[in-house]
Amino acid sequence: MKNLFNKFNGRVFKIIIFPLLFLTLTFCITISKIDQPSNATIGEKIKINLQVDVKPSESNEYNVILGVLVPENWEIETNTLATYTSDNGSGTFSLTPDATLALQMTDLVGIGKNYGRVKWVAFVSDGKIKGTNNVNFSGQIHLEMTVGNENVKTQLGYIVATSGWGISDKNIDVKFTDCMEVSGGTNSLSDLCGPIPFPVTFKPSQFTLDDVIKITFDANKGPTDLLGAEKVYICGTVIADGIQKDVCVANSSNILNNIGPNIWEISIWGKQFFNLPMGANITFMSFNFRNEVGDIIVKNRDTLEDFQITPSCKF
Amino acid sequence: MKKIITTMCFMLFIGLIGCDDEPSLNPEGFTEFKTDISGIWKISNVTQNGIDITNSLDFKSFALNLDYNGTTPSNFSLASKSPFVTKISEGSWSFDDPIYPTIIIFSDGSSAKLLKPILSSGEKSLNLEIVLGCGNMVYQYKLIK
Repeated sequence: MKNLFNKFNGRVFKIIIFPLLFLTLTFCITISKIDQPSNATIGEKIKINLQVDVKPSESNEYNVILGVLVPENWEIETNTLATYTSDNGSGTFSLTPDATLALQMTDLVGIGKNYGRVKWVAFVSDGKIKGTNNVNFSGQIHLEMTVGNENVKTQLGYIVATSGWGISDKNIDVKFTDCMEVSGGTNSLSDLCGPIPFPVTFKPSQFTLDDVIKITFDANKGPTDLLGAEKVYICGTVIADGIQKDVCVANSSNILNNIGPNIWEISIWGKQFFNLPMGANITFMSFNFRNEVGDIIVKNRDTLEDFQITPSCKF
Repeated sequence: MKKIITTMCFMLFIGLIGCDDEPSLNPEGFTEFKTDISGIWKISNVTQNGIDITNSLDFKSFALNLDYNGTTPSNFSLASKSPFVTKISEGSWSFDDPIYPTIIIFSDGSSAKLLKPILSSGEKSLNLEIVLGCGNMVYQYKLIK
């Protein structure tokens, strides 16, 4: 027997025993049904019901963790009433003081079809729910929350988990619903379910790198790191006559003009902006946007590189 | 009858007066001057396809000095980090027609179209149309001395 035990060295344990143990101990909790309105009016209090089924793999009692994915400007942290009823007891949820839970949710399951501007909000049941090994039970989670005050199309999402197993793969369940629309506001519809709005536009519509180009940067779109920035600067890279040159130091020549809420613009002529000879042959130009200190930088979300200015002239 | 004869004599008299002299022509003909726009020109206004961009870029450093050799365009110098059609800072320049110019030609081969005819040698403004890059992107410069 001792010899047999010795055969279970560390490597065998890692390869065979540990995964089996993991499978056995996986806590199975699933959202089997969601009742949620498909549209709402700004400021409306909506009701949502989640059907939750639990298959305990141990006899224990845990708090239930509830995650709700909503647009960033919905203040559900303060306007939500969350309760549950189940075969094993009923109770209420409270906003968790543990800020890491919401971050773990984002990292683990993402934000659905939304291109951004949404947040996971984590609630935890005030009481614990008992479970008995291999004795399944069901429950209902009832949510009443007030939607935001802006027109938006967004995909809501829900996570259920337990305090004992935390936000970890296979021990939670996540469901995203069909995109719902909130209307009645004064703003143009912000379609978070649509393609990522590109934050940078160039004018005129056709140009070469020798033309004067107006660059408009809308910090409301795409990566929103510079939302609310007091000053925005452009940091540029050029390749002219085969030589690369960068202009990044924040000063009056590369500061953008604020033309609206979080909307900035600057007109550049490459040879002037990069202080190149008049006869320089520019073959490449790209930019990113940054705050005055330079510790917040917005680049092209699609490429993770600077925004490249691609000539569009057809004549 | 007497009145009719008197009237006819009066008309004949008038007619003889009108045909008294042959019309005289200016013996020297019309004098055509050679256009002179010499001097240092600064930017007053710039548009890009009709949109005013004067305040969108720094045009303050722009100074185009057009020289003449007698009455003939000769050298130019350009002090500028602002967009302009010629890519050289000095060279020679000329008109496409010294008397009825419509285009200024710089020695690097670039050219600027004159938007308004130059009617005298004392012009205080010069309106040029140029292309910097894209062919359908027209820049109009109003230069002043």
